Amino acid sequence: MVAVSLLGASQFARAADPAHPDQPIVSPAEAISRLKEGNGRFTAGNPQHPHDSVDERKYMAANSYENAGTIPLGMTSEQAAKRRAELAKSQHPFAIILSCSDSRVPPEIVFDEGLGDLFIVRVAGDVLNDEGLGSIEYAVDILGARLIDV
Amino acid sequence: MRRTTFAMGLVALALAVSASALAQTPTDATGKKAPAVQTAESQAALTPTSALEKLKKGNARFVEKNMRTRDWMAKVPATASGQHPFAAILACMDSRNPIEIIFDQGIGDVFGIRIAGNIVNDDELGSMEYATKVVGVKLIVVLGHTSCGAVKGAIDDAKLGNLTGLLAKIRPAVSASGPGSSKDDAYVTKVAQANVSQAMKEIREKSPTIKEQLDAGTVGLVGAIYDVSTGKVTFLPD
Repeated sequence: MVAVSLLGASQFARAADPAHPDQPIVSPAEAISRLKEGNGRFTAGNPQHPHDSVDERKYMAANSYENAGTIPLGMTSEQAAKRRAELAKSQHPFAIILSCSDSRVPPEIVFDEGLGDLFIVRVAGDVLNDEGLGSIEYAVDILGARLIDV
Repeated sequence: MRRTTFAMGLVALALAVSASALAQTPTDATGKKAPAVQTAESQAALTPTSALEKLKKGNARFVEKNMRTRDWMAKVPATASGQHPFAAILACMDSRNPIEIIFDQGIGDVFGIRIAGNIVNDDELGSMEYATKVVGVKLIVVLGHTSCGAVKGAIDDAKLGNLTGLLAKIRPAVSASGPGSSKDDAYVTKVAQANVSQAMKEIREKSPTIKEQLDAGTVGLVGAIYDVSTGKVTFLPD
């Protein structure tokens, strides 16, 4: 697993990410351990399928005015921060996964995550192009994900 | 006499039920459920229409909270030597539409291509060409979704690093949808649909390999919209 931390893990020990003060804090180190734990559950044959039910989705829809995927790009950082605060209870994507299109590598399944947990960029050979990079920038700059896993 | 006939009927019914249950859940020598994965044979037996039907049924299972229980770790070794997925799905990167979950599919079932705003670029076209020509998928699905942040960004004509170029690819869908606001959910969905149609058009126009297979009817191409509040996938008319 090649993971890119976007900020030093130590910064998360005490304070929230200053760029996204109201985002639930999932530090790069914590995100890595969540992915490792999820894959551990998967390989142990004991997946929990978190957040993959219709109820979870309805909860997410009902408890947020709009979802993190809907923070308009034109927003000021104050507006975006306010919007994220509204979302914080229901939306919990903590990492971005750039992976291959191969049908045997569905990231949400091999990491045992569900709806709203992971941003996914997938293309054959997990190559990076401008639009893939733009997608990642969106997830980092606008939505506050703090780990990129290639 | 009547009671005996009734009892015999019950026995016959029980036998029929257990026989059909056995037929659906093949067991190996140890009595464990055999891993059902897509094989070259099961893939070859499918058509674009039956592949679409599998996805529709899978989404219905997801919406009805009747998702299949899978022995994931049996599927991993069973697919290690090759993949025979039946569909390729171009979908948004959004964390709310994990394609395998919303279509209730397992490992080795669907080929996934994901990018913000489910737009088409050369690498994705290459991925689709590989999926259809080499891997043998029967169906390409372009899946947009409601409340799409990339679509809203395109409506607002936002600029941000590498995202600017990506959003420019959605702009024709905005123009085609007439005037509207990114705060209007119905309008955002309308643009998302136009964006799906635009992607389908690009696939046909920019890939002679895929067009050839579409014309021959060996591969199908459909558009769909996933509703992030209901979980339902609506397939768009041709």
